Amino acid sequence: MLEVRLEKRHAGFTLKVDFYAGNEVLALLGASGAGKTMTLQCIAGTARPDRGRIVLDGRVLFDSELRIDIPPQERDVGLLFQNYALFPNMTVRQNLQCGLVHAVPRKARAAEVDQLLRSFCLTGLGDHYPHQLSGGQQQRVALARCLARKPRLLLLDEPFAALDSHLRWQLEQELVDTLADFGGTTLYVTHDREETRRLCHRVCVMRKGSSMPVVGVWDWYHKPATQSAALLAGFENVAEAIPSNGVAYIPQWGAHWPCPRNAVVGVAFRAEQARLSPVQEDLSIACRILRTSEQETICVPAGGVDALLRIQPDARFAPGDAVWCCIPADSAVWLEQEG
Amino acid sequence: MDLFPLINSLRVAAISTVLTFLLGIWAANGITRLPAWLKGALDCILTLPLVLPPTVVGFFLLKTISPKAPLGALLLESFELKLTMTWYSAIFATTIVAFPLMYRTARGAFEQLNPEWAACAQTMGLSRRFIFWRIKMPNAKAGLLAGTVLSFARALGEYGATAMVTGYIPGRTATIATTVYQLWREGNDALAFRWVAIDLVISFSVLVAVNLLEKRGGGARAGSAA
Repeated sequence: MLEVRLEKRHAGFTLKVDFYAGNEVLALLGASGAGKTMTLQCIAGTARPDRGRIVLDGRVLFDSELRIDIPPQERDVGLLFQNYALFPNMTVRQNLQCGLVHAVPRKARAAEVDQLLRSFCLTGLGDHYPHQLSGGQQQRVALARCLARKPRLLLLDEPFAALDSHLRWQLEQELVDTLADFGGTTLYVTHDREETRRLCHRVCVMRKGSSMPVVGVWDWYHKPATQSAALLAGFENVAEAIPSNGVAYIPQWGAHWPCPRNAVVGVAFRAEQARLSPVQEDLSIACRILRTSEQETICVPAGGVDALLRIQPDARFAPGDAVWCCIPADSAVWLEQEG
Repeated sequence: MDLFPLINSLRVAAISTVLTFLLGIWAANGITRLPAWLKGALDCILTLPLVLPPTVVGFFLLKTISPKAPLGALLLESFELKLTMTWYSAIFATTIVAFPLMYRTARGAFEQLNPEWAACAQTMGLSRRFIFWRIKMPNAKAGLLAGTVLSFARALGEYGATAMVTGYIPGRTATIATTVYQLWREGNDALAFRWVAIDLVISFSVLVAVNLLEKRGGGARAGSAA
């Protein structure tokens, strides 16, 4: 279990992070430059927050008021970087041995390394140097190295970003097993939506250095609360909404839709949830088809301003057709003011 | 032909190379941990001997260690240690003049290392000392060697500051550089040419060595990035 509350001024912005993670895989999700990696560094102890408190399994790692700052060497944290940070001057075996220093007595290390090589499918590669390994093998070595001394917390910084997409899925499946065996808290830094949905249990969205409240992965993907959350969750169609007496006017789409609350400021729906129809429905947008492709249909709202709608492909209609773009009521997500 | 200048030059250059090697790496590694303003100021001071005329270095040295200067007088009085006009006086001059080359190449070599190595190593419980000796030094090896060879070459070629603190005493303080100057003044061109040839051969070999080291270093880095 990990409690993090920290502030740090860094390179022109202020990092402000506040979250709690149980024995689960928590995604730290955000665009590059949102402060995800700096957050990991603060937790690992290789960077120092200006203020805050970090507690891991009841042990205070950092507390600015109590002046506690445990050095990274004693934090029991495993750190895995995007490019793995294997030491290029050492063989796989020596890299793994580094992970065991202080954790296993010298005499037992060789046997422990053999065990690690076996359990991470690296048998026979012990005497290779990192540059002689494939990307997937390098990742396995790095993962074995940071799990070698049985850390209480695992920090993974975009572990799949350096791999080809066809390799990723299989290695992801291996990682799911590894993380299940690990059983402790894992923070998973990523900007990849699909990866988040496959690997993580809950999501902490980071935006411009600030962390948003943690939500379950289903809620994050299907029920974003704000416009930026909807964009980050991959909603193709997001617009401003002006509510009044149960009806929201959506200027960009030239539509008036019944809305459940008066506090809304926007609305969003996914391309796959909208369909084209010759007749109007409750939630629909009058539009003309601009172009079609194998993947999607692009429409221009008839009464809208500067907006394009992205909708799933529909062979019944051709460019130039006037149609209604219809959205089932439970698929439209109403958005609130950014917290 | 008396080979004393060659031997003297080589021993002075060798000793000052060992000193610049240690001091340069120590400074290059230590400066990364300082706050930015101090880093900038110290970096200027440490690089200064590279751009100052060696005579200015020689002047400062004489004002510090000559028997007429306070420190030099103290050393002479208490330990009967005379730091100027001896063969080892040249070590002070060549060390100071060669230091910036070692310091700057070492700093460059350390800065090229992936900072994630140290971060990862720390979380694995590895000490600062282990990280420095077993990770930073081996991976910066090519750059450090190139810096060492360059410092050696610079120390071997030092004239201005050396001449000021050692003078020219044949068989006692003469180096190749001061010998060439002396021979030219005496009009002994034949012997001067010989020393020039020796110096050219040494300098050329050193530069070839630097090039080879840098090429190998580039290869190793490309390998580690893969």
